[in-house]
Amino acid sequence: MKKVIIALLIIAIVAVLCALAYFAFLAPAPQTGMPPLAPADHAQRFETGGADYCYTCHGNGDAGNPQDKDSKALPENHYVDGSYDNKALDPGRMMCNTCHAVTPGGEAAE
Amino acid sequence: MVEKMLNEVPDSTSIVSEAVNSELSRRSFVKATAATLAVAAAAGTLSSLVGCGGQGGVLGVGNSKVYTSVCRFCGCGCGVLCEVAGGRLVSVTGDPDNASNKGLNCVKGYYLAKVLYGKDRLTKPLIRKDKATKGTDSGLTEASWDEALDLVAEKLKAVWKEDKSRLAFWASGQQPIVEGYLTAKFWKAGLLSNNIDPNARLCMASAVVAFMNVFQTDEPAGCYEDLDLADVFITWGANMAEAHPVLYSRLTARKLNDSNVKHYDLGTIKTRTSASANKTMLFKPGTDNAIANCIANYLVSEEKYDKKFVEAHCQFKAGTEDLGNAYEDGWDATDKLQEATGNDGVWGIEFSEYADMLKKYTFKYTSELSGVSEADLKELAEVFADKNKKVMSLWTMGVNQHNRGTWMNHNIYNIHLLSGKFAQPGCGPFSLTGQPTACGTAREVGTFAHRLPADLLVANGQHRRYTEVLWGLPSGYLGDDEEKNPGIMKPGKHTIKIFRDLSNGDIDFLWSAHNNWAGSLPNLTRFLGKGEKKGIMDAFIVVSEVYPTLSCDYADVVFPAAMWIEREGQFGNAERRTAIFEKAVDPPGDAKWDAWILMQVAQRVLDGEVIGGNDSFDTLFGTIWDKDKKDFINESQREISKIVWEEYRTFTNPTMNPTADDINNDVGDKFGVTADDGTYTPAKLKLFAKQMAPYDEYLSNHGLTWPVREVDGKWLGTKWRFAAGKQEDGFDEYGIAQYGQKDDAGKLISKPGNIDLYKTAKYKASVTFRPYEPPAENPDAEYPFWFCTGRLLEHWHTGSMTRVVPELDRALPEALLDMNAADCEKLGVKDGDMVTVKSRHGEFNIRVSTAGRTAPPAGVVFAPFFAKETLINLAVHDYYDPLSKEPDYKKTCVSITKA
Repeated sequence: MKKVIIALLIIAIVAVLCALAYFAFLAPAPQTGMPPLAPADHAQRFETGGADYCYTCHGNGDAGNPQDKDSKALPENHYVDGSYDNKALDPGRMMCNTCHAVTPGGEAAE
Repeated sequence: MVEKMLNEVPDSTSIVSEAVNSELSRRSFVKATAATLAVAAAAGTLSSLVGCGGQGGVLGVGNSKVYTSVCRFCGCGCGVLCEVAGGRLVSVTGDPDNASNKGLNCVKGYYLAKVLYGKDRLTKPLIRKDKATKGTDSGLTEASWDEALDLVAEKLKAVWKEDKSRLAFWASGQQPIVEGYLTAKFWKAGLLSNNIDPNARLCMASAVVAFMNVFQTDEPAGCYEDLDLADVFITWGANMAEAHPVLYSRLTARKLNDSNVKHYDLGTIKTRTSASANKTMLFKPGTDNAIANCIANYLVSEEKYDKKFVEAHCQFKAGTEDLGNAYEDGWDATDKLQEATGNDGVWGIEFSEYADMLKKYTFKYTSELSGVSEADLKELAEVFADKNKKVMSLWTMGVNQHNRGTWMNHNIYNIHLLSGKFAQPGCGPFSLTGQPTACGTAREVGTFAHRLPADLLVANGQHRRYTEVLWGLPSGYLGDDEEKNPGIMKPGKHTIKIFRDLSNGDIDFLWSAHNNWAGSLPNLTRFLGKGEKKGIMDAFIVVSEVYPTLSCDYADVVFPAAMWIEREGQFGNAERRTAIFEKAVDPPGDAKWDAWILMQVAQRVLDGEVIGGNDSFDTLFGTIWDKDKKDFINESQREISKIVWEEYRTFTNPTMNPTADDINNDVGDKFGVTADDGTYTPAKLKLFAKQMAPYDEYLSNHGLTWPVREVDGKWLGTKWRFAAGKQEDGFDEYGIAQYGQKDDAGKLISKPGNIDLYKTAKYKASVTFRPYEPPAENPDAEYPFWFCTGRLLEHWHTGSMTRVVPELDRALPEALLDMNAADCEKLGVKDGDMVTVKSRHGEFNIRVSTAGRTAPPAGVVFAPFFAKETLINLAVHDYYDPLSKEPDYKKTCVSITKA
């Protein structure tokens, strides 16, 4: 009896896992690549200090990459020649607020 | 790793798949790798490349495909790469191979991945059965395609047969080129109606009229690369940081790369664009014409203009003045406007006369008028006087949406021509465009009420003959006698005329596509039947849409349309770059390609009609549509697009059709002018000046800037029109060789400034004196504030697409009224208060902000137009520029009271 119960249990678990896998397969692929929005307390930071201000926390510097360990590091393609080693932002990517809008509600990007 | 990735990407249309082709080249391999890495890197999950982590593990590579595309939104026309997995768009990144943006993107562009999947997508045709529900968001019920198409065709045919002056199509600067071309062909050749006009009338018409007046050809001479090379930038009433963000990033990058580069921002309010400018000069609304004339006066009176350039390339003119302002319905027919727009509206003058006309615009006078200090005006004038400075002027809606917008375009050209700063790398005037294909479609394939493809005009007999040949029509079919056979000789109704007539009850059938007129038109109080005029309620209105909009509330039939990359399309941006977006995903439900919808209606309407003894529909569309099958002859949208493109391309490659080429060259002396002494001057169309390449070239090159020339088997774009130099370097070598001014021995004449303005009749641009004239309305005791409107970064136009993206909606959830703190104090209102903004034309309620995106000076307020719950256009007036018929959205006088 015990063996039957274990077998049924295993079959049930396998069935559930198969079902999950099936629905996962059917589910639409998640969307990615969107630049994260800045939280509400970041309002006016870029306007105040420009990209340098953002770099202070999010950039690659003496204090690490990112310099503020609780911040999100800037992607490597934001740097000159696409390399963290340059420790300087690509001038074309220094208008941070062009992509990273501030959300008044404070929520981050999905 | 990369090998594995590439083996998993089978799509033959994507750039990634180029690398798995049997003829794998190093370039395509590198390109594919770069594309994949770009997508993966942007996704923030390089691990996805090996399928071992991230979100789902197969993103970016596994089963995904990457498609070459163009952003759906603004006039920058940025190239993007679209990654599709499981039939869904999963990421959008900047395309590094598209020279317009070089891989850069903005927040709207990145979030394109979500724009397709907002709730409430229209997926079924809708029909309104109870007219009483018009103007509400209810009353539309689902119908079959046949039911909706039959109904639309029946109504259109009935109105067409009864009185074709009472039908209209409102097109768009967002309508892809092939779709726009087919629509114009159906309307102009199928229905013999010019009542088709695009929403580009609302944003670019002033620029278009000025281009044609000054250079006899539309669109800028320069390119976006000028942004990387200029020494001085001048933005004229243009908030590029929000309305053209990627181009603004290039501008600021140039400044960061060289500390000597300067930026002067001129406008009526401070914006994000002002933030990084070296100097912001705020002027009183409407006085920009005076400022430009002041600069011209300084250059001329101080003899600091470029004498050699002016002598070689400029002719001087004056024109009708005191034009008044167009608000009343019959205004277009007044003697004054007839004079201003007729042959006598502009006349030649001597340089000395032009100099005399400018004399009034001293620094003192202009400073008093504009509010800009004399010192600042002089500093600006010195920029143009400095022969060593490469100066780039940039402008868009602040100049174009202006009661004297055409004049202000003229005046910017005037100061660039006087100073010889034209069509050289990093140096020249650059008219930015508002929409992704206002140039490519609205301007280039003839969806304006007065145009035919390739800048040709309905009112010109030679142009009609040329078009007839390429459309397979009998000679004279488009009209050859104003009385007996007018055809389409007379331009149709422009946008504001269409909607004024609609509100007056003089339009019975309206079809709109790729726009939301019920949110974007000015004076919606007039046009939406909220005042005395109720014509909109009686007319039969068809709307092709992707999401429910205010325009749908007034529709009798709504066609659900495929959106952006749900079909193949083509855009032409502000730097003359034509680029293709590939079909990457299927449209939802029963939504269809607009071209399919158009053909279905056209087949029904033209049933039984003949042209020259042949079936009308087959004559016009037989190459792409099978009437028996009631569908395209080929399932591939790529193949259909190619056929249509080749037909359009012939307009710009006349030798592809010998009969057309004879008309292009005026063989037989039919269209020119014979002088009193019997000398004949032929009328040459010079259509190679706009030469386009075969369709596939735009895919493999990620867009090309016209004119595109075939050199040693390769198609090369042109960066600087009219500029001498090698085609390989982006100069207009072949245009000048073919059409440039030659001496008696047939040798090209070398000219100052290194340019040849070969499209103009005398090889000379027109410098026309255009004075300052005041705005249509001025503040008074009852309406003491100027109200200005425009776009902000996160939302596109009326927000019907961007507001469905949660992140964009959260970032900019509400339209606020930006006010100066002193004005707030005076009125007793504070941040967050609701106020009523009222004009002579209508009113709306809105929340006040003194810390908004813009910072207006006292007496000026600003609000964006994206929010339908605010609907600021209820109060905006519809006075328009008399020459371009483009409304002035920037200068409505309003009162503000606490709500």
